[in-house]
Amino acid sequence: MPRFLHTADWQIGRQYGQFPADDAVPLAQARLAAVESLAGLAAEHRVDAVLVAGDVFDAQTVSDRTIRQLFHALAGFTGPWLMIPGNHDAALSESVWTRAARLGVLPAHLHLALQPGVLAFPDLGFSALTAPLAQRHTYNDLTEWFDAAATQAGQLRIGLAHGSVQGILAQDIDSTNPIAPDRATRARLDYLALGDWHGCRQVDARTWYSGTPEPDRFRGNEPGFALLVEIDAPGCEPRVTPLATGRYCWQSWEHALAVGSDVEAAIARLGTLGADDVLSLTLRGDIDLDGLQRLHAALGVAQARARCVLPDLAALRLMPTDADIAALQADGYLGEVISELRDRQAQPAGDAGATVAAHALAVLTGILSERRAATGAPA
Amino acid sequence: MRLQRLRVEQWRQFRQPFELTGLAPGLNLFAGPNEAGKSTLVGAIRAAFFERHRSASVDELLPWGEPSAAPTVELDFSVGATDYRLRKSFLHRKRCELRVGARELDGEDAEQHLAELLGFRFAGKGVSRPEHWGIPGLLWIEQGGAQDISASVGHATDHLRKALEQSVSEVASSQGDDVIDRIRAERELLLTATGRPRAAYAEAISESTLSAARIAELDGRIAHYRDQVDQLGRLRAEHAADAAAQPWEGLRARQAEAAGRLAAIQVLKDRIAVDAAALRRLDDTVALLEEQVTGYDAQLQALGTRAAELQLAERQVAAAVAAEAPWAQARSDAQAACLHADAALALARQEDLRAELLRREADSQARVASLTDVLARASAEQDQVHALRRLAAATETSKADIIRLREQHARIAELRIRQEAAATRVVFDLAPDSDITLGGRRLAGAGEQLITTATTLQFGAHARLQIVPGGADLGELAREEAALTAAQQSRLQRLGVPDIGAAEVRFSTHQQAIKDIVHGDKALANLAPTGLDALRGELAESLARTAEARKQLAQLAPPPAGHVAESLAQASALQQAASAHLGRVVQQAMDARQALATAQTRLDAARREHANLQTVLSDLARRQRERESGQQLLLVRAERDALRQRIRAGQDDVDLARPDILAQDEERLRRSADQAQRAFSERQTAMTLLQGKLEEAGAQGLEEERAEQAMRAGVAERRCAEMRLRADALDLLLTLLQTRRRELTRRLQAPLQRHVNRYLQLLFPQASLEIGDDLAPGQLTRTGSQGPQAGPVHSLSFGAREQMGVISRLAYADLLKEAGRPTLIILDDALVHSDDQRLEQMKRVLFDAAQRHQVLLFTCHPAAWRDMGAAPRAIAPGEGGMARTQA
Repeated sequence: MPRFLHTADWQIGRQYGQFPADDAVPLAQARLAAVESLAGLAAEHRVDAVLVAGDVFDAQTVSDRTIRQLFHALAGFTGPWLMIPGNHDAALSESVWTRAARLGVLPAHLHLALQPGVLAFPDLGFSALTAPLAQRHTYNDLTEWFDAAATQAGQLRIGLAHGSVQGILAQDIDSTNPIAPDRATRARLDYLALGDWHGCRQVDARTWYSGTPEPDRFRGNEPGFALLVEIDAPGCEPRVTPLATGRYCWQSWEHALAVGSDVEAAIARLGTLGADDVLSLTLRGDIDLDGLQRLHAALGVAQARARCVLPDLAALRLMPTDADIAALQADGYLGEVISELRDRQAQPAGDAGATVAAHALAVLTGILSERRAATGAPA
Repeated sequence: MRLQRLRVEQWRQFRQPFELTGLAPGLNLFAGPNEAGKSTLVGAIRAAFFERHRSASVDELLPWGEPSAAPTVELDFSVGATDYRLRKSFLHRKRCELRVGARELDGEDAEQHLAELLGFRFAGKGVSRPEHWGIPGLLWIEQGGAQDISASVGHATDHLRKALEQSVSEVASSQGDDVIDRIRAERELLLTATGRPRAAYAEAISESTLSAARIAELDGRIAHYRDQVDQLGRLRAEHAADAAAQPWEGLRARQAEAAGRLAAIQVLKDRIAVDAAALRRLDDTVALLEEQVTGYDAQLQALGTRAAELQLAERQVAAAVAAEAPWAQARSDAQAACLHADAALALARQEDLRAELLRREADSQARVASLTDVLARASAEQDQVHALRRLAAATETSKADIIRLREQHARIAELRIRQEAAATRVVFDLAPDSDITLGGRRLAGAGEQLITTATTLQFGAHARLQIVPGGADLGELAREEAALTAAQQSRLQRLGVPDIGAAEVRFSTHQQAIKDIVHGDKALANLAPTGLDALRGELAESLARTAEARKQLAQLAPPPAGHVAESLAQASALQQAASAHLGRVVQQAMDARQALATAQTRLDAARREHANLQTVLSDLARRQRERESGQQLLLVRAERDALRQRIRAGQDDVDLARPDILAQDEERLRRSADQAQRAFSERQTAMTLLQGKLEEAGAQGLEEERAEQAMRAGVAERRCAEMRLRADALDLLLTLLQTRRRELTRRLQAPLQRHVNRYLQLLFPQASLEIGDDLAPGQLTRTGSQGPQAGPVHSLSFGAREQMGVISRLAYADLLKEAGRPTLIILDDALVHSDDQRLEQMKRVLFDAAQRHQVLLFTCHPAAWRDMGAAPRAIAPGEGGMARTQA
């Protein structure tokens, strides 16, 4: 009973510019680690082959070191690795693949399809029909030739392609690298392993996107899996089992703060973050001085504990209460200025003046808090 | 604040201790003449507070001539319920002691305490200057300084503000200024004074810009790399296509085909050339044959011609014979006529000679007679000319002598007239018997007599008058006349004539003789131009000719009798005509004979040629040759036409094939094939080069580097944005805080305004004085006869400014008092520029102020202040021991 491990979109060499360098480096490293864990899974499940459906590399011109690291990571599984190039690493006349070949790092158990064709594994009982991308974008269905391709009778027909299945994804209209939705049926494939879509997704009984093994964005579309594909015999419907492979959990939270308890809820949620969480936190609404201070404290703790927390507080307005102002001893014209800033920041969101006013308010209250702390006045 | 006691020692003119005690809480009046020490005491109060006891710059405090003194001042005063005692010694005993209630402070602690209490500062170095004086500088008015308010206010502004804010603490901010300072400091970390980014902010902007530039550069390189990859892909596809199709092979095949066609054309052209050569040879043969055939035809025609010519020659001979025959008779006739004409001519010539000789003889005879006559007349003429010449010689007179004589004669006449004019005129009319002589001559009748020299007039014997004419020159004239007369006489003698009239006659005779000689010579020349001898020779010659003619006549034969001879001209013409006719006849006869001979010769030649040609034509072999030539010519012509046809057809083929274009085709296809192959190999090279470049570029990991750079750029941009936000926020905060603070200050000025107006109403009812942001007095508005009038304080008169200065200071004092600050007002000789009326009002003002403040008023005009309700205390230093004045 042949088994396969289906994966894609490794995007090796991706950098995370939106993060501080401290966080970006481990996130990039995690992609390589994911490949290593894939090799481990393949070995563990004793699969016959690993199917990698494109976008192994994030770009053509990654560093030599990155190329070496990637192919080194394949060592954990000694069975055949079947790879096709995707749109990020298309088999151009000069590509990351030709460079890898020159570097001499392509391992013997790697079966790299730089041209469309049939890779026959008679001993293992299957033939792979490959549709590698030889251009960054095409508007032809590269899998069309699968329909007429002959393979040895009695062997599984496994398709390997990278692109957008027409008609199922919202952004498919006029998208590049199209793939016919009924390709598996028309080409009599036992399984069609697809790449390009970063979430794990079933198209039909025999057609799957495995998604990327390690999440790389906040969009929640089920990334972080590889697919264990078991097919009893040619013509049988495959059994597909998602295996979790992702390390980092990318989350995107949005909280609207209105009352004190909302702040408490947000702070409490921050407390649930674990070491492998990557969080994009957007807060909007009003917050009083005390709430803001506690929020900052909670964010500090969360940023220390989680892999990365990216807070966006631009839409959050500091609304010091009269008690706050009194506590800050903001008497006389200081108090008037605080009131004015409070009014100014209430301008429609996106107004530059409002943002500046909000920040100015934070600065002023910060200074006053400091002074209060220094003079030991009661909070 | 209330000053109770003042004591100075070793202090300028107060060498001895001097003490003022028992100062009143209100107004205190101190009087003294100039230099009594009023200002010194005021100065002592100032020094006690302002100068540091350690200052080395206060030498002016020393008494004159006592450099080792230790100027000392002692003050007792109270602020609120607290009593103070200050004792300060300078220079040689630097000491400062302050007792505050029960506390003892000394040295700098004491000084600092005082500064905070009164609101002033110490100089960092050297003597204290106005900018350090703060509130006391405002309230302690120096001599002549009351009017100068703005500087003093400026130095006291901070202290005043503090006081103002204390007085209205409900609106002030307890920590506003500190917060403003802090925000200003924070802002200065990011922005310059003019609002440009600086330090970390500027660096962040620069970093962000650099990152963006670096990314742009990497993007450029990545795009370039991608282009090259695409280019390599294209090249590879083209290369593969070419390698499979090998397009140059097709081109080579087409080139070979073109070359084959070109070669075939060449063969055709070669054949045409061979044919053309053959054609040329055939043309030569045809020409030769045609020439031969023509030759045979010509011979046949020539025989006919010859026969005709023979007949013509025979006819000509016959004609010539006929023409020659009549000429012999004609010739003999002509000869006879010619002889006859010759004889007639000879006779005519003889008669002609005779006539000529007879005429000559007659001519010569006439000439002899004429010459004889001329010779006789010429001889007579010659004799007459000889006679005239002799006469001319005898009457020789020069024309010059005659002219000279005429001149002398005229002069003498003139002289006589002048003598006459100048002479004494004696007019007389005498009776006939009068015996009167004048100059010896007797006078008679009537007349007049001129006397030019002394002349005696003799009247008979009885009387004799001597008349002496006047005029000095009469004598002179007479002498000149005498001289001229003498000269004339001499000349006349030389000419041999008695007087001028004879001289004139002689001169005209001579002239006439000369004229006659000329006429005689001319007549002689007419008669014998060549002389008499020539005439005589000619006469002899004519005589000889006459003789000769007579001799020739004698020798002539006698004329023929009875025959009238023809004239010579007629005979001569007849003879010439006969002779010419004979010549012509002879010539004609000869020509006729010659023509006959020529015709005969021609006839012979024609006969010979005709016979020869007939012989030739009658040859059999020649006839055979003529037939053969004709046949050959037909054959060769046919052959030539066929060859021409073939050449034309071949040339048409060649022209149709366009060998030039074929050659171009071949060249074009060859080049195309070469080009295709070269392009193939060049592309291979380009691919290799491009591959190499791409390998090199690929190894640089451009996109990975760009991603890293983008990460850094993101960080920089975020940092930049944070800084910008912070800078903007700080800027906003600073602006808002300062604006609010200024507004507040303005509100705080209200109480000050109130105090100012209180005093001002005493001086100028219904007037108002504005207090500016800087707390100094600004615009003064008064109601005068022309309605409200406004103007700045500094434009007022000195006296008015002084009054405004005092009023303002009193208002500040009130303000300070309300704020719980100590106040002490000192006026050193103030208001001396005020008129009596104003001074009266100012006294009311001061008195009012003294109800709330202690006022020390020093004056040298105690009388002016007599009505202030306080006794003036006299001040005089060094009147032995301790001077003590007391109220």
